[in-house]
Amino acid sequence: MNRLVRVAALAVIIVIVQVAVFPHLRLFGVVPDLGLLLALVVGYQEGPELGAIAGFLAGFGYDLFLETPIGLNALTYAVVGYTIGVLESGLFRSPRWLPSFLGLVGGLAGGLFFIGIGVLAGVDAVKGTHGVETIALAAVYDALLAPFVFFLVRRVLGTTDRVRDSWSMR
Amino acid sequence: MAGARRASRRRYVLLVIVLTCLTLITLDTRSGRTGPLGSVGRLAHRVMNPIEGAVDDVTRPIGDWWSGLVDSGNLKRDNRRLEQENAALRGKQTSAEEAIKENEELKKLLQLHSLLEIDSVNGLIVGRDPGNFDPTLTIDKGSESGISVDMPVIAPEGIVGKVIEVWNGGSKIQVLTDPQFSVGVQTPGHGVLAPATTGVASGQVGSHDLAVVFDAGTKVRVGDAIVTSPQSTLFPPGLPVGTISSVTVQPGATGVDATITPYVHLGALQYVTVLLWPDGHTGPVLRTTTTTTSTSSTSTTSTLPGSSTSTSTPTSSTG
Repeated sequence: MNRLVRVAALAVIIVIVQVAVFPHLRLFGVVPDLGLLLALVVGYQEGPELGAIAGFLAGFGYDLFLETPIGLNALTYAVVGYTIGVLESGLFRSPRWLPSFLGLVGGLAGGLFFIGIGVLAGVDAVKGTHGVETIALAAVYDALLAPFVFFLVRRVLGTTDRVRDSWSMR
Repeated sequence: MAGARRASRRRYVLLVIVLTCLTLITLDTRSGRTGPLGSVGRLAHRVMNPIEGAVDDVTRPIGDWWSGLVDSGNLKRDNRRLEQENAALRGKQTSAEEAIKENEELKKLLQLHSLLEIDSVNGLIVGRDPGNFDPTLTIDKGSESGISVDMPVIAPEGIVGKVIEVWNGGSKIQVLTDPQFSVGVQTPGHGVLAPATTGVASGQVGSHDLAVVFDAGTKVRVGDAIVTSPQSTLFPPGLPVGTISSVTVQPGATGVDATITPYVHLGALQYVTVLLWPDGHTGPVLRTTTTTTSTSSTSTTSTLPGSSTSTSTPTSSTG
């Protein structure tokens, strides 16, 4: 329960930073998906269940400020958090570049999932090459920020550095 | 056994979350932001507005530095272009002032409602484009200032967009480059043989220009100044929109495709003006509204730029 409260607090902080700060810090004209990063980091560190919950909370909070349908980011982030949590158990080793790699791949996969559901929900803005370009650029931004989100989650949840542990075991 | 039970619980959690999200998406798509989800969103905006405003004060210099860092190549070019434009505009200013005076006189004679009579509210932009797919602006004035949904939003350069969501203490603006945005526009006309023509301009996905289709035979040139049309129910007529940046005659000459580059530079805006002009209104809104500037407790009852502005303390309002 304690972890759930901490994850919820993290989700609130992430949404505030995403909505209030990152619109001023665009890279290539796009903002990163901090909620998605939170979901995949929590999913990686804590497992699929908490990853999905973290994704849902951060995505729902973010959705409240967007014109895309409420629930779209919540669904995307939750699925990404869950999937990373499931895949993590099959990882043999976790190199140091893993956070950035997860940020890139998670950003791309989550973005494409977002576009797919968005098209089904009738969101015109995500259609076409512009949507895919935006997702790709946002995924690069996610990759750059992923190590910081890993650090933040580890500090708040008090979990061990799985990346470093597995590195030192090699 | 325990592992199987844990896996089953995980799947159950995912299923509940997915079903919840699909329900939310369906509800929001069907009822829009007028339903209970809209209320939650407005509440979130009310809570976030002061935070956004405070963060904006701190991060604007950082953001300016950041955009200068990642976009420094364009800055020098933009600066040279703006200096040239500035010199040209100074020359035009004198003649424009004369034209405005003449226009005022003629409007009085014809008893037309002037744009300058429409009450307005100036708002500070406290939030912009929180996501990658919905170009919006958030301002610090809302229902308490008389703003309601669908009211037009302008800047000194031209139209900015329209109000799409209002709460106490703030509003969200859909900008004119949004693909969902459309506005009636009018060409300037070139003599008797090429009269002014109207059309509907819309934002485009992935572009900062507006797209418009005029009737076949419309004479429109690159560089023509486009204004809002008299048929527009959303905006008062004659407001500057932008200039024609490309013209293509459709195959078979069934129409004329054109793109409009807006006058307004959305990224540089800090304040916007909301016209208290309800959708479909055909006359001026005779209402006095009180607005408070962000830097002081002084209240101002303001009209559009160019008209007089009265200031009073404390706040006052009349119906």
